[in-house]
Amino acid sequence: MSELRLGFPGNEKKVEVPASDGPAPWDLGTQLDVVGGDHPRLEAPLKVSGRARYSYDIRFPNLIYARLLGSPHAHAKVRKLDLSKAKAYPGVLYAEDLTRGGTVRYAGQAVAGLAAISEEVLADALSLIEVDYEVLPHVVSVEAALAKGAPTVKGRGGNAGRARVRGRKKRVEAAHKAADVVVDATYRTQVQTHSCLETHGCVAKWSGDQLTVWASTQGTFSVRRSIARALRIPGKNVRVITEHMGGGFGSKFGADVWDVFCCKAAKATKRPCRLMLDRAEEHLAGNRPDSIQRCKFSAKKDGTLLGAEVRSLGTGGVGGGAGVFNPGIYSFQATYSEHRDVATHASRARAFRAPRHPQGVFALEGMLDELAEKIGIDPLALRLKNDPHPVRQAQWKRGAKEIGWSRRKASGSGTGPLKRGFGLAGARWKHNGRPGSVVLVRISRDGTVEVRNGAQDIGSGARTLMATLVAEELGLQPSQIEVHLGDTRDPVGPASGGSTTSPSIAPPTREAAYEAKKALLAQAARALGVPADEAKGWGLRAGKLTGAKKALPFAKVCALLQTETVEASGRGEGSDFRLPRFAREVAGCQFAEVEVDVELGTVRVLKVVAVQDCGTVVNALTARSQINGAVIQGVSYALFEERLLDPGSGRQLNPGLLGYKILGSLDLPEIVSIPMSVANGITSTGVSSLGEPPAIPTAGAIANAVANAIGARVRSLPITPDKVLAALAAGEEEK
Amino acid sequence: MKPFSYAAPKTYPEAAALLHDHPLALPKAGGTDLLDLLKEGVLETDEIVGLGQVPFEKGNPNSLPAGMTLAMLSDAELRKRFPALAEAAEEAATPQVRNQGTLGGNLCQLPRCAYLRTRHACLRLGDDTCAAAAPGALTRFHGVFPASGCLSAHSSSLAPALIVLDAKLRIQGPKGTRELAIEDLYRSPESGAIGDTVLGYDELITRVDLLPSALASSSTYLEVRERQSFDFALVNLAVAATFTGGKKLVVKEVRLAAGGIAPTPRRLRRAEAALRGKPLTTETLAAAGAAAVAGAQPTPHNGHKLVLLNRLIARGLARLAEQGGDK
Ligand SMILES: Cc1cc2nc3c(=O)[nH]c(=O)nc-3n(C[C@H](O)[C@H](O)[C@H](O)COP(=O)(O)OP(=O)(O)OC[C@H]3O[C@@H](n4cnc5c(N)ncnc54)[C@H](O)[C@@H]3O)c2cc1C
Repeated sequence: MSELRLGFPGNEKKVEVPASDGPAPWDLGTQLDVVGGDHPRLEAPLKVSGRARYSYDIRFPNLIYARLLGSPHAHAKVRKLDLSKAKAYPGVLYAEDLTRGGTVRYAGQAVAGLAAISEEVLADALSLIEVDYEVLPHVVSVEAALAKGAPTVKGRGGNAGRARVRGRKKRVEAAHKAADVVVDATYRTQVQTHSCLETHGCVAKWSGDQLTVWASTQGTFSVRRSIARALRIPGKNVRVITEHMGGGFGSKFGADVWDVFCCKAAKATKRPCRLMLDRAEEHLAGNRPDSIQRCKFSAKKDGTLLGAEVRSLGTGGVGGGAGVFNPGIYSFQATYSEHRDVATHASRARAFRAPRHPQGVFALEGMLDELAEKIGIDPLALRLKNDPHPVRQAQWKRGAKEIGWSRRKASGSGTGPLKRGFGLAGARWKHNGRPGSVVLVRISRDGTVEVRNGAQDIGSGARTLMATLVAEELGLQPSQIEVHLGDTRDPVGPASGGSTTSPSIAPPTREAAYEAKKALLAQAARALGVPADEAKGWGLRAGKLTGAKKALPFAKVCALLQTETVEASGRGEGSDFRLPRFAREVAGCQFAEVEVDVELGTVRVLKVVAVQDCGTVVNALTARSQINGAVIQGVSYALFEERLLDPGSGRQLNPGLLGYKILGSLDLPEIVSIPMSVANGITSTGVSSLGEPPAIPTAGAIANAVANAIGARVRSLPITPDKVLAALAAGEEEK
Repeated sequence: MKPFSYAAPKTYPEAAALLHDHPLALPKAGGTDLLDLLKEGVLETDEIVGLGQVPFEKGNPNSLPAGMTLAMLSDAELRKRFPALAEAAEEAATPQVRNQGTLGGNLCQLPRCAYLRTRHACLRLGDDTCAAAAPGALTRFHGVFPASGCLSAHSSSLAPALIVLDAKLRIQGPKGTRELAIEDLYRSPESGAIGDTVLGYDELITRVDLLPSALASSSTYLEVRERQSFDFALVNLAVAATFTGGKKLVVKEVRLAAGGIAPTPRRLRRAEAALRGKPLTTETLAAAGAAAVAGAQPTPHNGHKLVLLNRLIARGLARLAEQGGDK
């Protein structure tokens, strides 16, 4: 057994763990040289100089282009689809009817595909496809879908799915009864689209029966599997490459109809084929579902939380998955939730950065503030009283200091048209590392170190993370390590979903480096004629051999290799991914300071402080960058983004980025991102999930800050001027 | 986008002649609006007459070439004489669009109605119904003063400013030139005609003439938008006003014009009347605000535009009063 010192300064816990053959887990006592530092992304020069090749940029001399035709109707039966004119158009090389089953259930759903020698030819030829639709009635909102006599989306039964129930109604009702204060309110959130900068799609190229696909994806291996399945060919015949990738956020896991069509067109024409969606199509390729959350929360006068009851509805369009994470985070005496997915004639929801969480936390934290207001207790004090998480307890205090929480005044008390407000919200997430990834580390006689894994870097800086871990083990700098990612010919790696990539890839990376180092040192000892026993105490640090008589530089050690290279694969076998030994969950919290013009209803977010537990911070620079990105997306969700579907046509009214509003640089607040290292003893590295958790609390914190500023509450996202003015007017009426 | 031929005349008379000979041709200045409309399939043409090669004579500083970019309009000298115009140009769009979009193109930009732009049923496109007027339609950004059944909201930032500055436009046609007051440039929407100006298909704006005056130099521009940039105003307002009196200001002369509320920029004459000769008090402002929104027909989604218009009027006058109370 060995003892680990876990936790963080100020809250330390000693835990006994069984000894293993692998690298010893890091803890608070470990002296780390490069892990935890600020390391610029290895690919940064390529990205800023435009040399990084994204799937979008892949071109070949005889490349052809493909596009799909979308239905203009939200619900229709395709009576007849005639491709003959389009096929006959000069330059068109391939055409396919995609109307399986014959019914379209959302506007923009693909009905046919074409491939042609140029995008111009494609555009012309698409307009020659003749489709005879029998237009059917549709519904695109939850309310309309639940109305009497509404057309059904999925054939049999109504549009409301079965209720998913958690907790016991009786117990929550009893809790409410014992309460001093009860708050009843309905919260709403909008549909948010992923709006990935690089749209979905791929370039496909065949060579005999071997297919190479350059895909914009967050799961190279899942794309390989789904393409192989769709084309009914062995997975080994498919190679997926994603060298750099322009955003996925949960919308790019598998091969979609367009990818499969592109591969088929390439096969049929024996020419490489490219199909990338345009922006309007990208808006259809996934979204964060909306929600209506009817909440009833209760508490005692002293701030003890009692009951939390949430009845929610949401639509994932023709898909599901519109549940909300609510209630959670805090210790209630009793909770009860009931959720129904409602089907509508709208494009399918997909996982979106912390699925279910931002919408749930927006309502949850709003309800907590409403309770606090009624009780007359400070919102921060209410959290501290009811938050069971040891890490978040520390984070609340740290964040409060950073934002200057003591400057918060009573809600709506400011003078003049510009009013300041402060708000806060919390987040929880799982330590989501998974077993199964394999990393290869290869050290060559010339001193180069190469790291390989077939997973993609979704943008989190996975390359640099791996380089940093290997550098730590080999006593080098991250810039000295060459990392190859995004090619399914290399060993298997994780799909980037659930914030799994870093925690899953870190342990095998460290292990591979550790084993490669052992092999290198063993050969070096042999070459120098040092007995194995004596060489046991050798190590590598600061570019040199340690523990030996001569502190040979790393390159000299490598030069002693008798074989051209030594290599080792790590499987993370010494790691139990499901065993957090300090705190069961990842904790985070955020604070927002806003300024609201109460005459015009406009909100400016001035500052956001985000304190986020990341387990071991491997690269502080990219960790802050993840948090910054999440906060930016959160501000945008809170104030601007909203997919607008016209009830009459079911079509999107804001299919471009002018109408679908994403925040711009002038809307950015000052962001103070504080990645917090917590030694949790899961795996040999302690690296945890970071991509999603900081995307959770931003909107909730901003909404609470707005309520504090104006003394009235906007319970609906996005918080636009019309809603702020309406909330203020309603507040006036109450008085 | 359909293929088109491209002509690049060197003078306005030549350009007007080209347009005259090709009734389906469209003039293009910066192209920031026109090219989008062609790509979205809202407009179609087989010939574009590019105005980029027409040289611009600067000369008289009060006579602005239509080809000036929005960026050039936020010039320090112009700001002194015609602050509302410089401010409007500066608030509009994004730095990129301001570097590319022109004065002439800005005044003739087509409506930003989401229904029109996504090719829903539209009176202007010749359909018999307006999708924005259907029950349940999403109209948060639409106008509150529909005209000829059109609910669109005019989105030019420059037009209201030029209206309060009483600008005169010089128009080139195939047979010669004419002058037009900016207020007479716009007309109510007509079925089947996408634009909302009185210009003939073969006419072009060549210059915008302004007259410096005490009123013009005491002008300002305000707008409310959701994002700080890359966004159209929910409501915009240009105000020009002079005052008399020392401590208690009395409105002497005043002109108000707003955008974002009707298919064309709207001069707020009734509100002006409620202000003219009156002390600048809360009551006066309330009366002006009420006059400005009298007769409005907001939809269930855009009542906030009335509130915003009211508050911009009060803010605009307060701003001018603070700057130049003694004039
Ligand atoms: C992202 C974005 C944000 C924007 N935000 C704003 C904003 O906040 N405020 C605002 O006012 N505008 C805004 N705009 C609109 C923008 O200002 C206009 O597109 C631009 O000013 C038009 O100028 P242009 O030279 O590019 O015109 P073009 O696109 O070339 O032409 C526009 C129209 O005018 C016609 N035309 C052009 N020149 C003449 C002429 N000399 N005589 C007669 N007709 C002519 C064309 O035929 C066409 O119909 C925005 C645009 C974008 C893309």
